[in-house]
Amino acid sequence: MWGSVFGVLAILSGLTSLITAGYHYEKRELSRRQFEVGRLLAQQGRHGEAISAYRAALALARHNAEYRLALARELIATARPAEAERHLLDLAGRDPVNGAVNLMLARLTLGRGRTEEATEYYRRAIYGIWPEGESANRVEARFELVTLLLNRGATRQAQAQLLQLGDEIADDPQLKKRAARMFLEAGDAEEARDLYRQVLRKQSLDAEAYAGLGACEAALGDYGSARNSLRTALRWNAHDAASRELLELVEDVLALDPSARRIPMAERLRRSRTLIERARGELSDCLNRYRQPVPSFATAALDAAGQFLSRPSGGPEAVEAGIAVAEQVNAAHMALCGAMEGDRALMLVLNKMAK
Amino acid sequence: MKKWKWKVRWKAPQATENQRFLLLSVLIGVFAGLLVVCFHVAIDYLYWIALGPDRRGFFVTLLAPSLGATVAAALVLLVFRAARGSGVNQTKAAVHLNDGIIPFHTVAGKFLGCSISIGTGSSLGPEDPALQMGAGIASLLGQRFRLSVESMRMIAPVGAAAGIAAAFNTPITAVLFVMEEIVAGWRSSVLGSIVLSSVSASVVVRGFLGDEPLFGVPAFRLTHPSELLVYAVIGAAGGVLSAFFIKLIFPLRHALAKLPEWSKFVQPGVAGVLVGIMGITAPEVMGTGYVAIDSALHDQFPWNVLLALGLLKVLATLVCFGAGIPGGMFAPALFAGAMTGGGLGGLATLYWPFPTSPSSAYVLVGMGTFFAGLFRAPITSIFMVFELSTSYVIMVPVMIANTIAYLVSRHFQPEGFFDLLAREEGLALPGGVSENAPAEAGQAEGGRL
Repeated sequence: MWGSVFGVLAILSGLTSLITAGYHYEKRELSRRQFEVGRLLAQQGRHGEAISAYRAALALARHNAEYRLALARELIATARPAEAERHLLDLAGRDPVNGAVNLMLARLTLGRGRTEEATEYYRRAIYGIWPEGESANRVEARFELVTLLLNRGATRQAQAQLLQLGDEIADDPQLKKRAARMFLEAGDAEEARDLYRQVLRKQSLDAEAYAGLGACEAALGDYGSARNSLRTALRWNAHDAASRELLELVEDVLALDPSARRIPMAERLRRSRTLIERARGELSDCLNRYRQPVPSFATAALDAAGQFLSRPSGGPEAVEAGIAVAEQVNAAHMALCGAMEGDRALMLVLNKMAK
Repeated sequence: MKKWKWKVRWKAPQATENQRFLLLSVLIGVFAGLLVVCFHVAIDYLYWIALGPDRRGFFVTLLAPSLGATVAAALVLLVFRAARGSGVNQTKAAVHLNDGIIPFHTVAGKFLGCSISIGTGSSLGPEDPALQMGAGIASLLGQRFRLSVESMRMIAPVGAAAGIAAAFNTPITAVLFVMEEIVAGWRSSVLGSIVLSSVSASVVVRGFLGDEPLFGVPAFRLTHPSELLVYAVIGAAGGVLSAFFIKLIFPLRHALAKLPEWSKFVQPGVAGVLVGIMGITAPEVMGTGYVAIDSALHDQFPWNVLLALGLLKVLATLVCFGAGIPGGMFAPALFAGAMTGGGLGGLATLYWPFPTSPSSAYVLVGMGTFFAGLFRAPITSIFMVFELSTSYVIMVPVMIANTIAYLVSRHFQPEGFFDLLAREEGLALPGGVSENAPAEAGQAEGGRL
């Protein structure tokens, strides 16, 4: 009896194997056809129909990562983030180190305002596995992470991420310029300046790099170099409004700075008087906005400014005294209304002299 | 001098009845697994032919369920008369009344009738038929091996567990359901055999169809303790809905039974047309609905669509089961619970004052609520969701929701679905969990493992 039972079992197993082999083949073919239809529809921009086709493909091959990823992409394209996220989580559950899936999840969660999760997914994308374009994708993921960190005000973390780009951007001037911009935004103007210089060593006619370099030099207080770089940038790209605006500011700073080298004493005195006049104007505006009784230190600063301006011109000691008065006025402004944002050139000059 | 002669006699080891039963349990699992694999394949092929992998046209969607239901019902009414009924009660009858005998043509009838009806879009499931097919195979093997009457009585649950395990790919659930519903109590005498058959059936199905779970379940976590209240509400809703279903299905069946005899051939066709009409706007309610549950677990539907699908499924299943179309109730129960849970959960994500999970989490928790209320098998439903989700974190919400569903359903409808069905079918069967389970367990000591 046992023998015949095992014989029947063997025959049935063989038959079932044949049946299921045909079944799996048919299922694969049907799903592949649906997927191809979906891909064509997606290429034609018919996202809704593409989604239906991808869903049909996925219903037949639920564990096909390629189909699920394609569906997730279409869902994102049609602004259905909740459903797309579920599919991506499904994929991430099966393959937690998949770089592409983690990058999509990072973008999706960031779009939905969940920055903590997005940061984590970006990190996974950076250290994940990419079957194609590993370096480019990792760099892109890191740039996006840096942008996120900068938006969150985490500049130290952003700088650390940018420093890790290292060799990955060595041969690409565009990536270097992008990294330099981010370094500057993260408050590391020196790293940014170095990167721009590296770019300019390879392509010396790059207006964008000159503009960036000028911005870095301005941020570092090297206004003379900044003026030269910005002028070069505008020579090759006259439509760069941001550089033009920055150049105006830099030129204003240079024209206002009484501590500048190689200027005559009369000019130095004139500049210190202008400095005090503009600072006094800023403080007066501040006091007009200030609703409470004017503190004595502000009145004292205004009086000191008035006395200095009413005095006839003096020698080198008058320049020093003028700078001291301007700093006194600035201190009063800082105490009542914060930095002199209304007059950026003045603020920059006073900051420079304070250093 | 006496010469000693040593004789070595080889005696083939004789298997005891218990050992043979255990080995037979494994074989039953393998046979049931193979049959259920073919059953799955048949349903899928028919579905692709009748309705296609994508949506078909208006008339095909409208008429395919009707045609399939008519053919399936005619087969059961004219050729395989023993294949009528839910399958669960017939297996219970085999255990408690018929000395474990289930005619083999029941298996053929279930296979053909249910694959045609479900494959053409009737709103029913393949699990209860698979249960009866497994029991039928077990009965056949038991008869062939000339098991004692006592062993024959226990062979049907062994096969039933194999059938369920193969249909759902959930061996623990299969063991629990059979112990909870078919054996009606915990009998250690048969537990080992049931586990063996259920595991071997699962292994066979995984070998032929792949070892992936039935649904792609998202990672689950409890976002806020207050969510437990939402889960409790989902449980209550599942309980009310299941009680409502029981209250409607039997009057409907009685009313249809009073119609002339010839109408039994027409009723499935009409039910099929009604399902087709629903399927034109909501194709998700057709067939097993597994794909739709998977889609709901991936947040495809908004809350209002989920609720509408849950109610439509209840309606479609009422019509199909009421009209006597062959098929099971497990899949529709899961569908109705999942969609209702997801719908209410989706509402909670919009209006609940505390942080909530995505609606897919509520789909998952809701899945077992209708099942627990309908079949009065709360333990099975809890472990079923656990097995499907493979997440331990989900256990507490599922226990809360399913127990509440069970209690609420029992409050509004004291008798369970299978008990009422057994009464309608004229079967005097023990219901639910047996009151004398400890006594039975004690009695079974020293018996079969």
